[in-house]
Amino acid sequence: MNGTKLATIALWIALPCLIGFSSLVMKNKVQELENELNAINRNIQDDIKTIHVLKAEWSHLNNPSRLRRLVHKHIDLNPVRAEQIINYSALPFNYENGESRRIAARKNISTYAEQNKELKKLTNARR
Amino acid sequence: MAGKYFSKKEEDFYLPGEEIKIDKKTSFSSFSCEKDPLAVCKNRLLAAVVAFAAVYLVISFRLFDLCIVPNLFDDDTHTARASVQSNIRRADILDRNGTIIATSLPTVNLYANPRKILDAKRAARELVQVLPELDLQETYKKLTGKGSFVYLKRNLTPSQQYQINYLGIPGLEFENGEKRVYPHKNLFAHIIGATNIDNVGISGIEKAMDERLHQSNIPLMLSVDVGIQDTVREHLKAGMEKFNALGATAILMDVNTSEIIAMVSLPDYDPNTNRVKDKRAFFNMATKGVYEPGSVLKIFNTAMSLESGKVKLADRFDATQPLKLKYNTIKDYRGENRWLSVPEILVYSSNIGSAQMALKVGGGEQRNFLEKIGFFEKLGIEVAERGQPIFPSRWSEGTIATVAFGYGLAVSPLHVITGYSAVINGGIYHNPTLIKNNPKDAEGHRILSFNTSLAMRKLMRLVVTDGSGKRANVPGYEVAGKTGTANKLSDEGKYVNKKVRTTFVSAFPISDPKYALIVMLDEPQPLKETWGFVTAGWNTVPTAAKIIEAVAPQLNLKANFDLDELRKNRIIEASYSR
Repeated sequence: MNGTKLATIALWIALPCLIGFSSLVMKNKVQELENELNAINRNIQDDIKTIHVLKAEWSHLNNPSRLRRLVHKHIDLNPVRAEQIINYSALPFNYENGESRRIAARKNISTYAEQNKELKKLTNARR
Repeated sequence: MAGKYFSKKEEDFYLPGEEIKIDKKTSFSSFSCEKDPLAVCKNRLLAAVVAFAAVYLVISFRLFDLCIVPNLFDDDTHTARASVQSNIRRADILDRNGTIIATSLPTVNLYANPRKILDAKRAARELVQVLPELDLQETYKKLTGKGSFVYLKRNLTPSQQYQINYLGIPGLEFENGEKRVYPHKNLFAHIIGATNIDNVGISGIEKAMDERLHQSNIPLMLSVDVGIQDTVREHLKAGMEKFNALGATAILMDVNTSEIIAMVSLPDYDPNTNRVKDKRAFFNMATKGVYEPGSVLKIFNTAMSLESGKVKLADRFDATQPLKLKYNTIKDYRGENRWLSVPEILVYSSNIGSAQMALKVGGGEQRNFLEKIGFFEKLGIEVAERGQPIFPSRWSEGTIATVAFGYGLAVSPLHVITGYSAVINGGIYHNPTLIKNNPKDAEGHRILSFNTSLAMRKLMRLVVTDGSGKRANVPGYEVAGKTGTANKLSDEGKYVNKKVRTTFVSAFPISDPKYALIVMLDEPQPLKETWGFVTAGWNTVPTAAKIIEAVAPQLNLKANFDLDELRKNRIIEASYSR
């Protein structure tokens, strides 16, 4: 038995051992990854379910009549009325030309004052 | 090579065993069939080598493919990856802003396999302890019954499931199920409808679109708006209670697309429980109920007359005395008793004038127009409850006259509002829809010329500023509309005087119509503040005004506020309250 033959035999024994071992390791690894994947999938499934339920609950909590009840209880806000919104042109001073309320007052133009008074009266009467 | 193998060879003589001895000359390099005595052997060997080499080549190629260059030939569908689908099967229903109005929650159903149950008596006793709502006798009967599947209880809570699991009774099993829930309870009862215990739609959209909701779990987006629906319902309910009406309905519609923004029918029910005191709560007045609309139909009569060209705006008709026809006489309710122009006929709601206009135009054209605005057939709305209009089969002179002011033809409020939208929006009719951005019938079809539609806008505005709709003149929103009061038919088929259905159909802002609203009250009662009147101007109109006032800012409409208008309104209000 010469050296070459011995080396050949050793190689042929070592090779299957190596392959066998490495495939075992790989199989374990794959198993591990698969378990991990399943766990992740399960978690995602649970999360999706939870999110779905939470969404339904959120919608339930956003029920307009419930919100209205809470608004009445906690803050003093009322729906916007049409007369609370007016055009610039309806203002008693010329806003669009950069005229401020103070300048308008200083000018003391009688028409402005008249309009102002009327507007106040109307809104007071409305209340 | 094979050819050579089959060719003629020299027969040689060998000693026993000599032919299998491999001599040194025999090698693949000096291979030759003619010379070599071991040709058969060598050929077979070669074939085997080639075959094995091919196999190994394939294997190594595949290995190379899998390990070194992944996904060379495959797309990546075979690669394992995290992929989870929701196990909720029935699709959610959303409003136009994405708020959930119907969804399915995952639940667990408990069922038993009686064949596997060992001690039914004990099992039943223990089960009833955990689930007190079960009946002991009945449970026992179920557990001892034949067959291998029986539902014990659906939709368990997680704690109940845990407790039953903890009992450890063999033969009891769980099944994943889902339960339809409606977070907004009564709010969308008639639009959404409900499902039965097997999650199959039994009414409303749930029934009409059952297949779509079943097939994919992509949410279905509706055109309705939760906030606006609630505002409309709240004010309508207040109006219904104030006037002691039997029922009420309101529809808010986008004029330009016929999308329904809000649709309420009262009384309603909670689809989560399906329990009601009054059976009428299940009836959808807005789409299923067909009613004689009364004076509201004068809108369509005027539009049709103007469109035909046979009647001009300035034409005048004699309303001094009742109109006598073959079988009936047409009278006015608190008539003006003079000659009236077309705008006056609409503003004072003259039956005599309307009938004369229709008679002048003729029955054929009237029929055609009503057909064009869909008054003779069911509408293609996406709910299961759709009303079939009732109309006379013979279109006599009397029919022409009565249909002109809204009797003898029964349609649903949805028919009226859809037709009204078409009259107001420039003359294009769209099928009403509950689906947001519905591609079906997005084009619509023309029923009126633009000029007639413009004229109708002005006429309708007159009704609100000068006629019976004065109390709907919400400052800033340029409301235009028409009132209608129809006497109800008694069971004997006669019109009863004090029992009425009052309707107000309106659009705002009329200078550039965006939304149309119809409000209907069923049998409103006279009150002290209405001076004993039950006509639409006293009950439906103020209710509609409240709805418009609250809803318009929510719809993002800019108020075109006019001080003069407010002043005028103050005077009107003061005169009413005096």
